[in-house]
Order: sequence, then structure tokens, then C-alpha cells
Amino acid sequence: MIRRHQDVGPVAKLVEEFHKLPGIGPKMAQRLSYHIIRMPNSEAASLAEAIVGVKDRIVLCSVCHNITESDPCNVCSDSTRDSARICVVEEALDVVSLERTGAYRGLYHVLHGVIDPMNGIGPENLKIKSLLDRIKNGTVTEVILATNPNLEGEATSMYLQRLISPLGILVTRPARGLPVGGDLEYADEVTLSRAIEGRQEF
Amino acid sequence: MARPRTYKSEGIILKGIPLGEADRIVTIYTLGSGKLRLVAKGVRRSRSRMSGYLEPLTYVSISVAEGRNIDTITEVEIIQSFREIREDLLLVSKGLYFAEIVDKFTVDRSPGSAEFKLLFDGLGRLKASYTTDLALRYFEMQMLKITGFGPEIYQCVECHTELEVDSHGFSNLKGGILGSECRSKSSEPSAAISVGAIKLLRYLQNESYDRVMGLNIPEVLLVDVEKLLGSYIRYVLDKKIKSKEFIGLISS
Repeated sequence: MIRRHQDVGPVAKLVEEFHKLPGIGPKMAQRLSYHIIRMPNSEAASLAEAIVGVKDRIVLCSVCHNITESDPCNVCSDSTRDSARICVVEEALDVVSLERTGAYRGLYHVLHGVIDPMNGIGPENLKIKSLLDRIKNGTVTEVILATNPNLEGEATSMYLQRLISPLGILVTRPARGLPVGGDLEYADEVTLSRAIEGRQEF
Repeated sequence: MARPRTYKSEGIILKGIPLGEADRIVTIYTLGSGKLRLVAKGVRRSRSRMSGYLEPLTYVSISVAEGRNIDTITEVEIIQSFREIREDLLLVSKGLYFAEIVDKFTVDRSPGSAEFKLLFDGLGRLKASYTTDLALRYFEMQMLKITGFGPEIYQCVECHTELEVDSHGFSNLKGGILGSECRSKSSEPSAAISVGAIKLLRYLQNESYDRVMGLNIPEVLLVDVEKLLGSYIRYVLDKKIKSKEFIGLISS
């Protein structure tokens, strides 16, 4: 516990709450807490309101499980988007990254996790059943498996591919290759060989 | 500021857990120093020089800088990527099972070249034993033996007399086979074990990998031995090997 004798009552409580957040250590938690104490009341209130508001107003989309204010979410209810394609991602944050590119106009499906056998997280802990239901009921022709290109993400994609391919639907995976601004010298073996295999006419 | 002391090592990545914004704590089983837990800075950024190298089940050589609490990886190079494993779901699940067993059976910074060799050989041979789980049983039994938990399978654990060719009991608590006579007198729980299962355990403990893999084992017997070793390992570690369930899911 990081409860220090100098921090009494409400301050200690605030420090403790900050410390629970990802990437925030005991020192940072303390610094943030003391910053809040110095804040004008109105600002502190608006921060508190923002935190409560996000929990009150944000729900998971019943179709794609993305976080949203309205159910179904903006993407799922947008009739100009291509409903024949579903892009499967691990977390809601990944949707934000993909949306920022503007290169994808299909729909999404957020798994809320990844298969991680060593930590006991299996397919039953992910939003896989609803994905299969969407595929079976809808007009989907292509599923893009955009899980992270690491061991767990790959395992998840391979698992999904086994389930989806027999349904006669095209299953694709984003291309693997060299990052913009990267160095060939530092590309790992697997990335480099995939990049060569997937080369395109210049 | 004093220059940090550095050292080099090589080993197989067992697992990684996210740390902070973009770092990861990597558990690696090294040839010279046993299991190490090291920080890899910035690996979760896609432009990181190290990202692709520090995935579980990769055999790498590393340079490490000593830190106050935990050492930091400064450079990585792949020795063997075991690509054929990571591209197949069943092989990945088996490979992760090996890694989890090594992780759970070993402690930090305790050198063990036998453990390393078992893991390295185990991963290298996975593809060739695709259709059978016998390699998993061999791995389990060998790991038990190396770490000193090898069960007693020649004498009765109670009266220490040589076992007759007969079905007996297996006691997790006593760590081995309980002769049928002692078993009937004992009030402690023990699982029944057949003559075939005893023979297979002896093979797994004392014969070479190639001889074990040459055996033609009926499925029923394999399932029995899997249950028995699984329950014994669970008892020895007092922990569940989580990745085992996934293998079952994949192979069904």
C-alpha cells in the first residue's frame, strides 16, 4: 500500500484511486492528487463530472461491442458504410486507430480481449459467439482479422479463422510489413520475410 | 552517472506482461542463469526495434543492462524463431504449455541447463509429433524428474518393496505408487493405476525421447496417464497449468 502518513483521509483515498490507473506509479499518483487539491473547484467538479458521465452515458454497442453513446453505435447505424465487411479487433481503442486512417469503410467487431492461454483467457471470455451470429445472419462476405500481430493475437486469429472459414466467407488478415520510418536492419525475421512475400509492384 | 554494468545471455522467451505505457516485463529462460525477468522498454510500440523479437517461444540472444530493481534488455537478436510453431494453432498451444510448465517449475536466477535443453528440444520436436500428445507427457515427466519431483514408480512409497506386476494406486501426497496391499490399508486418497500406465510412466521417466515416441500407445492409456500426471503436477505445484485447457479445446 502506498498510504503515507502525510496523506490524511480524503487525500490518501485520492492517491490510492489514481494509483490503480494504468501507468501511474505511487509518485505520479501523489503529484496528480496534489495538483487536484490546488485546482479551482469548478475544474475539479468538471473532471469528476466527466468521469461519472463517461460511465453513465457510454454503453457497449449491442452489435459490434464498441463503446458508444447511442446503441447501435455510429458506425453500425451508418448506412453509407459497407456492411459486407467486418473488421475484428481486440479493443475499442483499435477502432479509433483504424478510423483515424479513413482507409476502412466497413463495420467492426470488438472482441474485448485476446486468447491468452497462459493467463487462462480462452475463447469463451471473448465476444466470439456474437461475431459468429452476425456472420451467419447477415450479408457479410469478408471478415478482416485485425488482432495484434503478436503471439496471442495470432492465436486468436487462427482460432477465428478455423470457425469462420467453413462458413464460406473470405477471411483476411492485414498485411505484415515494414513500418514507415523504420529501418530494414532492425526488422525482425518474420516481419521481413512476410514483407518480401507480400511485396507489390512499384 | 556511472555507466550501467551490462551482460549478455541467450534464452527462450516464456511470456511477457505489459508494463506501463509501452514496456513489457519479459520472462526468459536462459542457458546460463536460468529464469530471468527483464524489462523491455518500448516494445509495444510498432516501431520498436525489439518488438518482433521478444514474443513468447522465440530463442534469442540478448544484451542486458543491470538496473537497481530489475535489469533492462538493450539489444536482442533472434537465434531461432520457431516460426513453424507460431503459425499453427495446435503447435502454439502446445508450445505455450511447455513455456508455462517451465515458468511454474522454476525460480528466478537458478541456473538449469537440463530445463533449458528440455524446452529447446521440446519446441524443436513439436512439429514432428503433431498428431500425438505423447511428447507432452514426456515433457511433463522429464520436468518432474529434473526438478526433483519425479514420482517413485519402482517401489511402493509406503513399504518400499519392489512392486509386483499388477495394478496399484498412485498417491499424489506420497509422490509415487502405492502397492495394492498398502493401498487397501491406507486411508489417504489414491488413484488407481493400471499395469500399462505404470509401464508407460517408467518409459517416460527413463527412456530416450526417440524410444518413447516409437511406442504405440492405445488412446485410453494415454488419457489415463494424462489425467494422472496432470493431477500430480497440480498437486506438486499447487497451481493450475492454465494453458492445458486450451490444448484440449483446439484438438477436439
